[in-house]
Amino acid sequence: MNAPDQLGQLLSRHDLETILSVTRSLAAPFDLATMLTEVTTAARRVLRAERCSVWLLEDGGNELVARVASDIGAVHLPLGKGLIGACARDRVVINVPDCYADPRFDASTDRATGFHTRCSLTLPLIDHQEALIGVMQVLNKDGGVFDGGDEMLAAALAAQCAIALARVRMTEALIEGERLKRELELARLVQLSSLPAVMPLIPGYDVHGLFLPAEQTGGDTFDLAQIEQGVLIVLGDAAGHGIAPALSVVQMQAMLRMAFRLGADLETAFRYVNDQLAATLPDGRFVTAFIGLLDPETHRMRFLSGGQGPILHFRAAQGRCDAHKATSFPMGAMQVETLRPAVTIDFAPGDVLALLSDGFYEYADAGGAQFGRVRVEQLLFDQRLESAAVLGTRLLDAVRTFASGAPQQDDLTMVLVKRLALSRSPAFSEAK
Amino acid sequence: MELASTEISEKITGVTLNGRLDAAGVDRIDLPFTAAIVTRARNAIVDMSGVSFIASMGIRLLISTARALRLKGSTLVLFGAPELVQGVLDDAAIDQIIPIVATKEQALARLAER
Repeated sequence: MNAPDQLGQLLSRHDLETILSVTRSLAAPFDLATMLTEVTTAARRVLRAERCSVWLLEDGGNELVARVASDIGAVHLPLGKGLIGACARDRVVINVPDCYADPRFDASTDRATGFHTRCSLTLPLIDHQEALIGVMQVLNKDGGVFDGGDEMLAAALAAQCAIALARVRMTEALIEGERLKRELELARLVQLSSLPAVMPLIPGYDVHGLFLPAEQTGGDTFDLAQIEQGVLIVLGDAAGHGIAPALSVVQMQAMLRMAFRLGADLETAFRYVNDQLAATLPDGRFVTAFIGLLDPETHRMRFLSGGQGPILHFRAAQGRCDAHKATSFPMGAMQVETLRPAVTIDFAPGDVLALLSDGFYEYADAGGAQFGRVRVEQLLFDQRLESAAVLGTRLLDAVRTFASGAPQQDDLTMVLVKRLALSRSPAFSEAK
Repeated sequence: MELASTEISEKITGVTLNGRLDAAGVDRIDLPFTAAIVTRARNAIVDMSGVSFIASMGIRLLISTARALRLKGSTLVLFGAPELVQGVLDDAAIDQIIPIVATKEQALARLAER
């Protein structure tokens, strides 16, 4: 007689219907708690057991945690401890007719709950890939002890339970993945909404902005706009990934625009935005930001930078870069007590202001080496005759070539402001 | 990234960091670093001499820790940062929010001033 025949003879019509009902239920979509309750209720009924619990393997497979047990709460068991731990470790069915006579039995739960365990049947839950995912245990057979027939019945239920458990966990992982995906999409939309729709046309200047979000988008933004106080130039970066930094940086930008619209000068706007961010951003959040105002008539730019650096000023006549540091700590980290003076940059013909987010400088190749500032400075020199847009493309190409296929971990954001060279300058003629 | 915590005195916690303070490094030490420094609510000095690299996430950890400590009336001082790390901290003007000095003695002296 084969196993299914034996099982058929063991089951009453009522038991069979119960098991089939569980099997049908397990095929339907549900959450983990509902599914486990369904299984344990069925196991108690079919096996005529007083109690049933399911323990799931957690903490990287080092411990078992009770997920369905009427009165023992969230008990944690190390692998190997008690009958449940032994069952998980050895992956075998353990049928114990007298628990207190078995040295593996751990009576601490009985002592804690006042329950008296008489006999038990403990089964490993093994999924279709032969991986242990937990343990099911039934206690105290009504009117006797568990026999071979009970073992077969319990094994049938345990097999169903293991498969359904694997499916529920997979579904939960997919749902979590989808949630994260949506959050990232939302963060990206928020960021994109903060970027200028068109680049401003500034007489005598060539400007270029780029925002290339990483797959797990960060918190970068930039702004280039003609406002009453001059040409506003902003590059901001909120540390971290996801919706929170994206919102932080958009908040910074909106407050900045509002301050300038209300007539604030550079210092007032900087202080106002910093102090507002310090008061409103959650702990551990801040924004690094470069804020500059360019007067295209005098070719003079004044800037303040909260934690955003280096700020590269390529001086065409000298053929080298001046690297400026941030003038202040990252915005929102704390209230400004004493604001350091703004830095002034005078643009000579051919000069370039290069603002790059740390995604450029910290872009690492497979060996962990970083693109760094020296390469950027060299490229600014090599491409000094090109337009801002071409220069931007070359920078992007250079960082990608350097990375040799290593994935982009952070947003890549740049703002390039180039004062147009006088026509037929010596450098231009020489290069031609 | 590795972290070791010691008691310099009854009022000062010492923490030594070793390795790369990038996103992966911060993931490893974020909780123990905060626990070692902020939960004790007393002055702390951090030996940065073993930190070979610092990225924006590392700066974020230092700032958030210094800020949390400041709210409890205590101070965080960094010392011994290698040139590359010091350069990154300088570029971001971190010295305006966290005192950064060269040696342990200078770090202790800075705390004594307060």
